[in-house]
Amino acid sequence: MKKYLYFIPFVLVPLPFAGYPFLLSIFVLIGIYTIAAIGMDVLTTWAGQISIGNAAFFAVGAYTSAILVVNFHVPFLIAFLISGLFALIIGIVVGLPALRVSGFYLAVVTMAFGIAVQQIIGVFQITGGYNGIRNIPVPSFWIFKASPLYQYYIVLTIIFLIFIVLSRISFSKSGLALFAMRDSEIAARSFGINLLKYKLAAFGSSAALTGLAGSLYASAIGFISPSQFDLTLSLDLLAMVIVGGAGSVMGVMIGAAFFVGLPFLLSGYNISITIIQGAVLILILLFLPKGLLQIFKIKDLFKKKVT
Amino acid sequence: MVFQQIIAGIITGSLYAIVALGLVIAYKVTGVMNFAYGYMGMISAYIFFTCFSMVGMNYILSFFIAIAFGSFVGYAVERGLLRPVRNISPASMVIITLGLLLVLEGVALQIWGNNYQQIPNLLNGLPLILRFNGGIIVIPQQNLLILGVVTAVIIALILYLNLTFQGKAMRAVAQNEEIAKLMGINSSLMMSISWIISGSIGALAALLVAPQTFVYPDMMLNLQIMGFTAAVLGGFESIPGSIIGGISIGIIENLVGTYISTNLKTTFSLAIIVAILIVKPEGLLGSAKARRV
Repeated sequence: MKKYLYFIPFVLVPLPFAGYPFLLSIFVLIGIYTIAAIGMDVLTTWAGQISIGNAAFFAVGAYTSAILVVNFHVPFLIAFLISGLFALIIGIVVGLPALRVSGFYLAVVTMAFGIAVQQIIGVFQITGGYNGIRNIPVPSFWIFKASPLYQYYIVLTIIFLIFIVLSRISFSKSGLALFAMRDSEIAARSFGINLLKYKLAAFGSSAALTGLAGSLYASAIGFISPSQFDLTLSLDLLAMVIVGGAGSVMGVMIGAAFFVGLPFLLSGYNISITIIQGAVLILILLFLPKGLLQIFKIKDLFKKKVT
Repeated sequence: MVFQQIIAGIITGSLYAIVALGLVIAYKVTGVMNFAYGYMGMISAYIFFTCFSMVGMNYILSFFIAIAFGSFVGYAVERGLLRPVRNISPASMVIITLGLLLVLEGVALQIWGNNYQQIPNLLNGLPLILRFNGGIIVIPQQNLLILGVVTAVIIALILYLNLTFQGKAMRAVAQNEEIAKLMGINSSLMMSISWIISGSIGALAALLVAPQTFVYPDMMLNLQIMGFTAAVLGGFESIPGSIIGGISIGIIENLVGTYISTNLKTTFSLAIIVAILIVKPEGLLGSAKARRV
């Protein structure tokens, strides 16, 4: 029960800023990236697979949802679920090579996938080519008028639901099997764990979470184009997990807040943001190997070894 | 037509090959997969631009200043950033080089801005034209220069690693650092040298490609991705492997671009490479290893 209390600050944080829609829309973005970064976390920290192509799942989710809503006038809630489902299927297909290749080789395979998706999106007519899709309507299922405060709570609720599901899984037999696979594939197999099933499940669920985040992103921003889903986004997602604290939803949230919020904080100064992001990334790895979460001395919420 | 594309592919591929070579040398000796590699070279390209276009130095002199700077960057990164944290996990090491990439990109933006800067070709003469029955092949002089320099570097490197004492010592450190130390090899020096070589190769690659890509903070992104892919395709631990990997990627890319689809060139090339990796997961020349349980 106690672990749910950690969410209370996140419920209260936006209230003082209720009059500043711009600030709130940044909080919404942080929440959306948190969902995508949780997808990365599940794949890397839980299942021990490496991916530097997760931006592609984000793009798949964003484009599926945008095309359904703009071209076919599908209600957002349905488009949202379909985009998660579609990303799930693609994730499973991408996971197939992971059965054969690992390490740097897997990194190249996922990177190739990420670059390919970005290029394919830029070529086809239905995705709007390199110009992208504009004027994506704000979802209608957000019953109140589409205020950023309301969007924030929707996103936070989704994160909360994901958190509950993930903490259930992490104590279940499937969760333990995933951790065993991460620690040693050979040992896991000798205990009768079906690596095929768990690797595909890891890729599939990672892709689905990232796809759902992409769908929310498309409607929150209202404009998507291929250049938003480049290799940098994939690497940023990985960095969010490391900066905040791998293996914990709270940590990932902090990492996303850091990566999304910092550019806005520093936008008034004449200094390029990547210097600070890069330097902080290096310093955190050197001095806080478990991420910023270490500062807050919050216990590892899943009580699992973090590698 | 086919020959023209294959020649063009060999020239692009030779650039991929030396980038892969630089990555592999640093990786074999120190075990670090350097994600910031291309960006280290990018800084050298800017140094060349500053010396040549802004200060107005001689082309050759600026060239060597830039290469020297590249080797210094390689040395400084290994010695100052990576050496103190040798024992952290490989994944964290990758993230550290990623952080370095962001810092270098930011530094370039801060100092030189976001404009595309032009660098002239060293050789601007008439292209070499080969005629034979049924077709002609046109090769610009700058491309001949690229091919010549890359071949020279590869030969020099292979001779160095195989014939000189220092090169053998470096290979010994790559094979087993502990035992190399016991044999009296200064492994710390060998690691520095490997990064100095790697850094100067990166700078060289950046300088060779700069007249085509222009100089801007992300100029090396494509070369780095393809160099990384070439290294993986070749097996990641093998020097002939990275050369073969680089050149075959260059040829595949050019043929796909001409005969299948220009827009989806990278997509199809990468698909072919992924297919190769699925069939042969340890790369073309890599060896499958027995792993400890």
